[in-house]
Amino acid sequence: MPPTEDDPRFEDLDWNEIQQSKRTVTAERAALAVGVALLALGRAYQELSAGLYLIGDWRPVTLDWAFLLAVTVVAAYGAVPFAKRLRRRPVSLRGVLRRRPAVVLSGAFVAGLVAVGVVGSALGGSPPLRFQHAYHPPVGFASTVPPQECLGVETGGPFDRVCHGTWEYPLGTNERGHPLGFLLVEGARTAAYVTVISAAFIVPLAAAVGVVAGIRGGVVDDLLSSYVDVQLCIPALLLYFIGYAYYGPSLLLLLATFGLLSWGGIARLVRSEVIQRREEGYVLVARSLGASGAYVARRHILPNSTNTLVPAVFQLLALFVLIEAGVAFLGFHEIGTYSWGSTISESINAAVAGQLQERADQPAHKIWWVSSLPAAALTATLVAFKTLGDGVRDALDPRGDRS
Amino acid sequence: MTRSRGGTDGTPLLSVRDLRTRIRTDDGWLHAVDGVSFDVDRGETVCLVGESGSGKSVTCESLTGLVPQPPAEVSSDAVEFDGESVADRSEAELRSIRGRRIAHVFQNPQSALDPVYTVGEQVTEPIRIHEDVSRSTARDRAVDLLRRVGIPRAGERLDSHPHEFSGGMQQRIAIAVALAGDPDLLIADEPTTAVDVTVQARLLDLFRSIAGDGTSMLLVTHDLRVVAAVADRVLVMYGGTIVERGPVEAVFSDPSHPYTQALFDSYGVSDGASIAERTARGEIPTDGCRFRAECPHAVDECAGGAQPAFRSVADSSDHAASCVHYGPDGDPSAIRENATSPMDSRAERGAERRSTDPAESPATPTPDTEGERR
Repeated sequence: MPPTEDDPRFEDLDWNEIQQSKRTVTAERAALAVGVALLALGRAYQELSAGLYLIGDWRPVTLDWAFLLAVTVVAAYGAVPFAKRLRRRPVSLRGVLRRRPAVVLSGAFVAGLVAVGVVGSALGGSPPLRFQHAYHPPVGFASTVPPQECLGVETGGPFDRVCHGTWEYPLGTNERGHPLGFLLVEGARTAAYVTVISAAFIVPLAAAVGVVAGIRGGVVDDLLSSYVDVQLCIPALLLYFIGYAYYGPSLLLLLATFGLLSWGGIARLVRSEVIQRREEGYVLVARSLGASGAYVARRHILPNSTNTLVPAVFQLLALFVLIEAGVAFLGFHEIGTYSWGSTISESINAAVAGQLQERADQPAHKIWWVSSLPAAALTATLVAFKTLGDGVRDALDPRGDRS
Repeated sequence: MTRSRGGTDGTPLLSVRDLRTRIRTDDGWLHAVDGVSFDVDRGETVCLVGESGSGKSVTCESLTGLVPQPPAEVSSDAVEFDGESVADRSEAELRSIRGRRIAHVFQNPQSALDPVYTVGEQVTEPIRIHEDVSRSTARDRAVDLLRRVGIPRAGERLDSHPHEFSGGMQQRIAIAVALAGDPDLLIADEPTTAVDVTVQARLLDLFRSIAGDGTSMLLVTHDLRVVAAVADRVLVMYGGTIVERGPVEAVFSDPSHPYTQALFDSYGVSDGASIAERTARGEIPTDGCRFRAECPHAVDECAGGAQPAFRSVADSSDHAASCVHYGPDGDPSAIRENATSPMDSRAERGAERRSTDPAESPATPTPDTEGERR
């Protein structure tokens, strides 16, 4: 029959053009390459230059480099695909804000957290110790445990001094006279380090193991699954303490022990999801179209497993923040890092143990801001991660009209 | 890139000889396909009919190695496609055939499309797997394909996701995906089973138009109306073997194997007893004539050895049945008495044939409203 207008001819395609446009350079890979190159340059500069400081008075250590690398990875394989998606299917911010305000807020919070992590370290080192300024209350509040030098309005007699908050320390100070605002930002930086580094290095590992075990099955699955089972039996905290005994406190050690021992749960989840997905019709269709196993895994099985993977990952990241705060609360954190956990713990210790004689009998609630502000920040972080996890899951699922 | 269609060198497009697929189960080997031989000529539509579990789907999936191995094991004397053997190709070589030379359409349209991708992305998947094309080229191609399978407003629907389409539309899209690589052979495994009757009729129109474009088809079905509507030749399968083969007119007017007769009877018009009434269903034998346990004409010769040799039925050399009664010593007259044509499908077929005459109707079925956005 004669070809009609509606009958496309295969021969019409210009196969030369098609062959030439073979894309090996994707935006993701480009972003990753540029980021890694910049980091390598910075590292080399730091190595070769005479000065100790890279920018201002910031001297990055291994942990900082690991964090920056993690940010690069997350940006290349999280932010870039997200931006691509937005460009292809623009979403009005106002519409999303109206429908899912909690998710947008959480997203902004987490983005702010990561931004603080990136920028915060370069902003400056720790403020000087000013014991005479300890326990300033936040602006608008008064304290009956006044600092030796109250910068705000002081009322009451010489034996029952009441110090009112000052704009010098809008959120108050702790027992060393460190402003709470600084401590909160530093705690956020620690939380950002914990989450971004885990997200960049632990999640791909968990997903890869889960997908491989699920798709290959058989002996590979048995080996990987039993390895994960064994790994899940090792208490990460114990391992951290053993490492602590040798190397002293280190956030990197904490991340390594918890990170390397905690992905098993996600790998298991992914594996069981993959085992379901690989029986789906579209997997058979893709194979019938000549797709390789790797293509099917990457393009069909993994994207269809995000319903399980994404919330679990965000939950794990929130858990890591909590674990880090817990370890810091117990006092096993790196000296010089100001985790929310250590800030909370110090406020309680200060009042109960009473390093300063005259405050020994003061209950901790009288300096409530030192513990409740970081506790609120910690809580907000956990809530934000879980809410954002659900939001991202819904956004990735085209059937969910809620995002 | 051009490829000649309907080559004149006389060799069939697909030639299968003694295909066997067995699947390892806890109870030992299950012989799902047990010595199947057939040809599909260029431009021809061959229908594989038979009840559930007769090995139709496994036959199709064995051809291009889609059957997971293990647990399955595929062996054959020869599987030749376009003159080249595909029987012992590596997985990579098979992949280069799949999608571009031989494409599949499966039964369930709801699961055949990946929910996370837009229709446009899926329709161009075969091109993207085998080549890498620019986005605009792929998009144009996707629009053409969707238009060809009768999706109304194809350009607007490219960015819709599969769940926004009805079952019939999803099956059309699945067919568009299969056609995207411009295959020489389309293997459709029960493509109309999971959709309702009105949609079936429209899909059959689509298959006729695909056949009209020169694509060879191997169509698996247990629906005789589908066979009547599109087939050139019919293969009847039972218990992993082909029991009767022939041109569709001959098989329909003169079903010659007792199983074919029973199958046709089960479609209702005849007064004859159904399969269930004729004989209690037992274990299907794994040697000789597989149907002998249920066959009203079974004799001792039916048992043992390979399946009975194909004997031509009546005067047509193309029409043959695997039954001892058609052998030199057999007397098929008792069987011939039961030869009733299934339903009035031939009349229907005639009407449809006329209505799809290329001179009268365009290749593309008229867009319909079955897939309006829900």
